[in-house]
Amino acid sequence: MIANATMQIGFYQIPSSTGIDSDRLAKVLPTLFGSAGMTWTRDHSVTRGDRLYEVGRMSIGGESTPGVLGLWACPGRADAVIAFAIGADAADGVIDFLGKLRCARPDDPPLPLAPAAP
Amino acid sequence: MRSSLLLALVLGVAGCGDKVTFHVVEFPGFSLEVPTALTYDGDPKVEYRAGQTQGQAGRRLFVVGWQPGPNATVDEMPMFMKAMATALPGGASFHAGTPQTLTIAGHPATRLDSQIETMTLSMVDVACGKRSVLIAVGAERGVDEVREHMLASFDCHPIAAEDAAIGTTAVPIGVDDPVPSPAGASRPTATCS
Repeated sequence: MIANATMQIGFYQIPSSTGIDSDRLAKVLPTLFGSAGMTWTRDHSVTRGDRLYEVGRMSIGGESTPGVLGLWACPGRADAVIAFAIGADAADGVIDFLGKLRCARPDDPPLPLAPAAP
Repeated sequence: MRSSLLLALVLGVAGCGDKVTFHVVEFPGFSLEVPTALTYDGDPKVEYRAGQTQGQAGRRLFVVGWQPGPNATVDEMPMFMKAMATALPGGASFHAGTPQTLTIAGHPATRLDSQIETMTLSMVDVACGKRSVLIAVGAERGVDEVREHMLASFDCHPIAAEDAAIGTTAVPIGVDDPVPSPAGASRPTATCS
């Protein structure tokens, strides 16, 4: 997970994104969030290249926050990455940011990010 | 991978059929004796991290998949099944049993049996090196026999170099340029992997 003053983004590796499209994401997300005690309300979807994004709001315990879920396949491999960002209103900015990230490669150095404050 | 499994169920392969015959299949870093309807011809290097194959014999469904990370916990397995059940046709009855922990050939594993209409779906997620292997069997009858036959043959032999490569990527993402700040906010910081 990475975070700054306005948002948090969690990243999850999944075995494959084959067969997952916006319609399927839209159908699965409410139940997926619901199984963890949260509510997901979809606003719209965005496709950029072969990357899918779902834009909506996540609610838990009466609190609601904007959210963006991104999904992209890892080139040359079977796996894919899901990114879930919450806390930032500007969905376009979040999608621009996620678009600059790629799947990790085995020889990658540590991410060039500052460590979190204790 | 798990969504593909449910898709097959939605398409109506559940049921009973002819006698199941088996053969040994070498997957990336593990082998299993599986029904002859299930084969694997993927690239074991490209698909070492994660992959999936499935087959059908008569009206039985078999799925073998693998992915990075430990095997699912007894808390996680029902959540996966619940999420997958959203792909079922409206009105289809679905009931998940109680997950249990077990050991397969010395490796920790988690098993969950579910009932979808008249079909039993048995899923076992077993640890293998730095990955977990999901073995699923769906049918109206004979699920236990087929599953146990497959599990008895499970041979985990991770490829050290490939497993090591999984270990060097603590996070699933990478960047080619200095990480920009989203929406003009402060530079993001890493808090955990």
